[in-house]
Amino acid sequence: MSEVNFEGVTKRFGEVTAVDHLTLDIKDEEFMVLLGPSGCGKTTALRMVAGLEVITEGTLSIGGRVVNDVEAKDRDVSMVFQSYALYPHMTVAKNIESPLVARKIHVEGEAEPRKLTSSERQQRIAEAARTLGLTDLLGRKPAALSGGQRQRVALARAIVSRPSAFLMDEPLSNLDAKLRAQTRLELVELHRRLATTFIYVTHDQVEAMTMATRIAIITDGRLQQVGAPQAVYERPQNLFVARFIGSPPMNTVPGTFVVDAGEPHVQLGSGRFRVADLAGTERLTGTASAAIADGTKVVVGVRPEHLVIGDGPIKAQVITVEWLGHERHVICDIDGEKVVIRQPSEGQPPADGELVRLSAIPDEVHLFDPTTTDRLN
Amino acid sequence: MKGRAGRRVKDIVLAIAILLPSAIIFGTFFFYPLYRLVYLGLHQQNRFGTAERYVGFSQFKDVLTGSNFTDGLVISGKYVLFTVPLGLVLGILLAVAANRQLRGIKAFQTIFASTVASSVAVASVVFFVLINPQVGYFKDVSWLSLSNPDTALRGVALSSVWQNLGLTFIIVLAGLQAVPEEINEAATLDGYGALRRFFRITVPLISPTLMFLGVVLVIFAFQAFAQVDILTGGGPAGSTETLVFKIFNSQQPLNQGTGSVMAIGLFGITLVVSLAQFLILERRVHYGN
Repeated sequence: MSEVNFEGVTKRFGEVTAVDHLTLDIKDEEFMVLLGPSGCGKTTALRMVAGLEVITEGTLSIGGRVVNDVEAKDRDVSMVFQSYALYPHMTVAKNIESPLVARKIHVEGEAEPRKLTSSERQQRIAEAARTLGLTDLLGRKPAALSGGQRQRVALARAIVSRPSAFLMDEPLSNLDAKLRAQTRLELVELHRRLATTFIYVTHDQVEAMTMATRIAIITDGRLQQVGAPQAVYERPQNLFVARFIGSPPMNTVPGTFVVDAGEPHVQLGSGRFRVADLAGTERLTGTASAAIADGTKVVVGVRPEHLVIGDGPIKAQVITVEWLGHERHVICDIDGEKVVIRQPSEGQPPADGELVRLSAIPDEVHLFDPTTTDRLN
Repeated sequence: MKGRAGRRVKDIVLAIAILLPSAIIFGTFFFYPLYRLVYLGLHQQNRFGTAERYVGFSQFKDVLTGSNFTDGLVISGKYVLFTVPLGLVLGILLAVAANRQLRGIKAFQTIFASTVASSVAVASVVFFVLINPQVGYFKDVSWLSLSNPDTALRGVALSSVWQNLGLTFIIVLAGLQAVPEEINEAATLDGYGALRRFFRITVPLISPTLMFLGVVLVIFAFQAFAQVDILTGGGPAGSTETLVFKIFNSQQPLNQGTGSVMAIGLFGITLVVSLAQFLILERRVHYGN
């Protein structure tokens, strides 16, 4: 009912291509996060769904209906802007009421959308205010509200028309860290209550990982990977996704794939270690990975928590140890490449300059093609 | 103790040194003439300016209630009514039209704003080319005619409207550009059409700008002189003699007393009108953050 489908959607501003042939299916009731660095095109994609940007090429559908030429107000979507965009001269109540005044609203049980009566509007305003804890603030103007309260007014204004899809453009970026964490939980709860499609744009991977049902990673206007947070974390499809998701980021080091005694290995510097059977990974994903030839140059990706200091085959030298309280990060050098290892903070940390031996958990080694940056295993 | 006193003296000397230039300028060009005005208003002079006598506030009373002043006040008042609403509306329309991301829009913005660069005298002379009753391009447009006492004031007012368009346009445009684009987009998503968006969202958000312009344009209109002098010389039959024009004409020593009183009267009226505008409009102006 409220799926959003991008089919080859492209947006060009003169010479610049902001969104490049985006094909993405956002399912009904899911919390889809569009994640990517600044300027990657995620906000432009969101604005195209809202109807604030004209689509250059491709087809956009909402709820099965092609909406390329449908006006913003007739698309049955609501948007929460990064700066909230509250009307400063209107009270909170009037701000919340504003989508109901001029738009035709879908009413449950009725086929055609229509204008609401005054009492219906008041009822919805009260309901939205109750949901977001704004009942005591209805008479105030935005200038008299805190940042968090303003954001809730923006949310109330979005939910009051009960749209098919909620669009959010980095709504947490103007909040302080503590409020951000709290609001994340509230938004997840809101999504659960409303059972409606949420499309959420952010550059913060923590927000994406904690809130999304699926994440779509975008850079340079192109979709890199779409999947559940766990899938994107555990099996990044290319180097960009591998390095973008995860904090501290995945270690990526050039190496060589070698077949040693019939088993797949990777040569990293002077050390060689076993990686998981390619057949094994086939079992996990259900797709056959093309066999990698012996001697292929690869980029090896291992997450900091999957490297272990002990008596493994990789020789490295400790540069420094960062202590974070609950864990420590040991930064090492493997033949000129810097690598970060996460360790619990118990026990004696390695000394600066100490020579250590590392091993990697075979199932958690990711191999990428150095030229195409695509995943190989 | 000595050090602190010494520093205080230094501060005072520095303060005086910094304030002195402004004080001298204000004193010479504002406070002294004001004082002279009041002085002249309290005295009457003979034709040659060789003798004067004190007459006190009775001169004030006579002049301010006399027909010369009240005629001038009516004409100035009409002038305000002709120039201010029309000037504001046209300025807003132009600013809205020019506030777009279109190719070449800067050229139009420059053209619309250009009248701000000309002086009143130059602009009036240029306008005269258009409505000169003998050879002007629009000499046959009867409702503006400068040779008809009933319509001459409108002709002069129109020249003012045109001249002030540049200033009004620039200031309203600046106000429009200060409205965050996201608010316009939110209004679009809320289903507001262009007209509704303009009156319900844009106008309230530029209301401080509009109020400022309203006050400034009224003050300009009360001060109208050069336009009158160049276009009609006060005629025909004194129908365009604004207050300032009358004050200007009272420069002979015999009339300096009455002229001064009229000037003070104009000052008082402008002050009252401006205050009234503030009080009435202030409640409806929204100062956002």
